[in-house]
Amino acid sequence: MGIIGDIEEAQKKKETPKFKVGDTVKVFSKIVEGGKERVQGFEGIVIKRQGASNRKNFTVRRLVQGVGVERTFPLHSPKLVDVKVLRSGKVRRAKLYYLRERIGSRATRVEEGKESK
Amino acid sequence: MKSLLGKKIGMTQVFDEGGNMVPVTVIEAGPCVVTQLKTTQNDGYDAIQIGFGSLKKINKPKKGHLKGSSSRYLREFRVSKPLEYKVGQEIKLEIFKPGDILAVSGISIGKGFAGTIKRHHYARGPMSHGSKSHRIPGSIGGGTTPGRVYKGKGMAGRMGGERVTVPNLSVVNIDKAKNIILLKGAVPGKPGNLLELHKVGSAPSVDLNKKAEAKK
Repeated sequence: MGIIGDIEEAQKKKETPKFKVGDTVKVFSKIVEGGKERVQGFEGIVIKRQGASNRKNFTVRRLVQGVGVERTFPLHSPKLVDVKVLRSGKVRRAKLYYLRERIGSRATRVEEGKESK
Repeated sequence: MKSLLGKKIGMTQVFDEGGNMVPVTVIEAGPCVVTQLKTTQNDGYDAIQIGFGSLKKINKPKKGHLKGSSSRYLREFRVSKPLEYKVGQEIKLEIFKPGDILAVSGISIGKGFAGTIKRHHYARGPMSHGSKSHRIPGSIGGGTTPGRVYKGKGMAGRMGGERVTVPNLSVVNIDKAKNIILLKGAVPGKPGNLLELHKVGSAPSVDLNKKAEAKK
């Protein structure tokens, strides 16, 4: 592996949480608030996973008072504590951008699927 | 002297202590060898010449000059007291530490013969509705008065392939064993490009007095 590959490899976590696109997850990440560090949760549907090596990241979408909110997390970030799968989804797309155009309950509905291993 | 020669390896992203992702340039810097001392008495100015890289074949004049080392690139840096150094002395990455602010110089990527939009950030004309002035520079000056085009008027021509200095790059990390330094931000040229690294300050707050000292 090259020099850059070695640097990136050293940045990677040994184990990352297992989840798929379409899963409804709760993401626990550290945030600094008023000089104090605490863990914050963010719940929603994983609409995309992208990137390679230590640059892997994923985007979680949820509806807050009818407004879509998306947050992207780097998978190997030391700030990312855990990703808990609340409900695994069955989808036929790698990127669920079509959810952005949906309104109401259809915007959050993804068919239930098999547990990801 | 707080300067080194290095080779650009490429760019990537790393997490800093705060867990934030930082864009970094990976540079293989040093070890450099002092190849010549220049003094006011001998040469009219004070400087040291340092070498970097290695050559497979060295011709005889260069062999005599390098005295044992096999540096491919030679560059001079001004120092106030060149006699504090010895010929053959190694300068390594130890002169920098994380948090330092560096200025990096190198040859930028050549863009060839470029138009005014790319070279001088001129605005483009309309692409449709009968317009034919798509990427033309437009008017280049007045008429009878002044009767000439002003000097320095931006026009098409060769772009890039010139020496560029990027100021204010902070050191994110250093691997002394591998001679690798990570700088936050981009540097001129493609991977493999020769770079000059100069220390200009230390973080977090850049002390102006120290900056002046480092420049001396």
